[in-house]
Amino acid sequence: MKYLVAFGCSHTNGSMLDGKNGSSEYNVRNGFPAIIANEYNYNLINISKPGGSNQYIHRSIVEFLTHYYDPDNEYLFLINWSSRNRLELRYKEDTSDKHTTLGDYTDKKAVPFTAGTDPKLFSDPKIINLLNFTPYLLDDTLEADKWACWAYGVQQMLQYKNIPYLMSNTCEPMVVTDTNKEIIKQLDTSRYIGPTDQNSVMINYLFQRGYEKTPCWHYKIDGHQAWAKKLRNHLRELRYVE
Amino acid sequence: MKLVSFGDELIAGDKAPKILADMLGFEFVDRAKKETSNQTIFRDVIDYITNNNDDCFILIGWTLGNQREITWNDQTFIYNENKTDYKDNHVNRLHKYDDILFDKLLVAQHRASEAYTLQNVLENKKIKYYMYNTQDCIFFHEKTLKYLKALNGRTYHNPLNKESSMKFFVEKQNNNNHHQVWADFLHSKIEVPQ
Repeated sequence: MKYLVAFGCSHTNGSMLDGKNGSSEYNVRNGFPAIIANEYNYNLINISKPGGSNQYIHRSIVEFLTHYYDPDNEYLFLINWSSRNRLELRYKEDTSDKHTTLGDYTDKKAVPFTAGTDPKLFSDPKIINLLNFTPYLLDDTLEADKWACWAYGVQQMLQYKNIPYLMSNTCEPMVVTDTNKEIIKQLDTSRYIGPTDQNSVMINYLFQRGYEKTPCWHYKIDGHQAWAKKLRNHLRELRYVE
Repeated sequence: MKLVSFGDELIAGDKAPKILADMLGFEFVDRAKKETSNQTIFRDVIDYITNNNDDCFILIGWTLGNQREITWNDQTFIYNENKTDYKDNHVNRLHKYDDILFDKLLVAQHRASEAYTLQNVLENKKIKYYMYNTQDCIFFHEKTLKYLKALNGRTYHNPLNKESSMKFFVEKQNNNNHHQVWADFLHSKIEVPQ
């Protein structure tokens, strides 16, 4: 069996593709990962969450590899990194709190926590109050360093397992700091589209080309088709697809 | 050959990793810190291997799970669940949220994910390594089971067992020279690079 496994945040989840929902089955099955999967006859596994952090993306890649990966199958990983101002929290197992979004292998206890999130999205008052402490928890430089390490770690891990992959940024470029510059230099830019380049970021790439966006910076089907085309060109260069 | 040690206050300085390096005749590089977190250790290891090409053996002593990096007034420091006397009261107020910030299951998922990632990174780069816990263990839960099964038992000493962590192991031995005891133990476990 052939699987295209997509990891990411709302952009990978197809948020607002249907014109009304942050997350819906239609969105999950019709965004850019689905466009590429359908074109090359892959089964789609969409492991993404609106608000998903890079920490969540790294963990969900490891979770897929340790829980679901079967070396007898053929895989193509599309890894779509998110923005720095996010982290992952969890609702307690023994409560009824849930953060419901759609996608494959979703964990309804996993809470995407972003600076500036609408508090109504959280059901635990403690997590709502924790929004006041985001400057302590989400330092731009530190988060840039973490992101570079996760990306490098994933690159090495997938190389070791011989799994074809392509990485891209959907929300912002990776920021170079004094501590992550050597790590960024060792990112494989044939498999990571412009890690530090503003113009290679999905939302900027589509905005510059005039695709219509929603007020929350999500794109419609024509935007997803254009991004799929860009990814497809890179996949062809890598000879992952014809 | 260098032995590069990463970890916390229990191994920073002339302690077990330094004794082990001497036993092996390796140059000792101490990257352990008095204040650290597992996330910091993960990044420190990647920082080292991307900045150095020398022949090395990486020794990783994972620390307590209830520590994380936070930033206040442009200073990043380690926030510890058990420390309540931070000079800035804002930081002390954060303790109200410790059950969320140090959710056992989430901490275990992140810790196992980063250990698994490093395991793969080091194996891909053909760098010999050994991991152990200095003073606690990874929380076992049905949702961490498969992460934990994927950790290599030959290169990570009993990640699930607190009694197997350095601190608890050495305290049970009839020998007060704890650092020598742990160095001897590590020497018996590691595959020494040629």
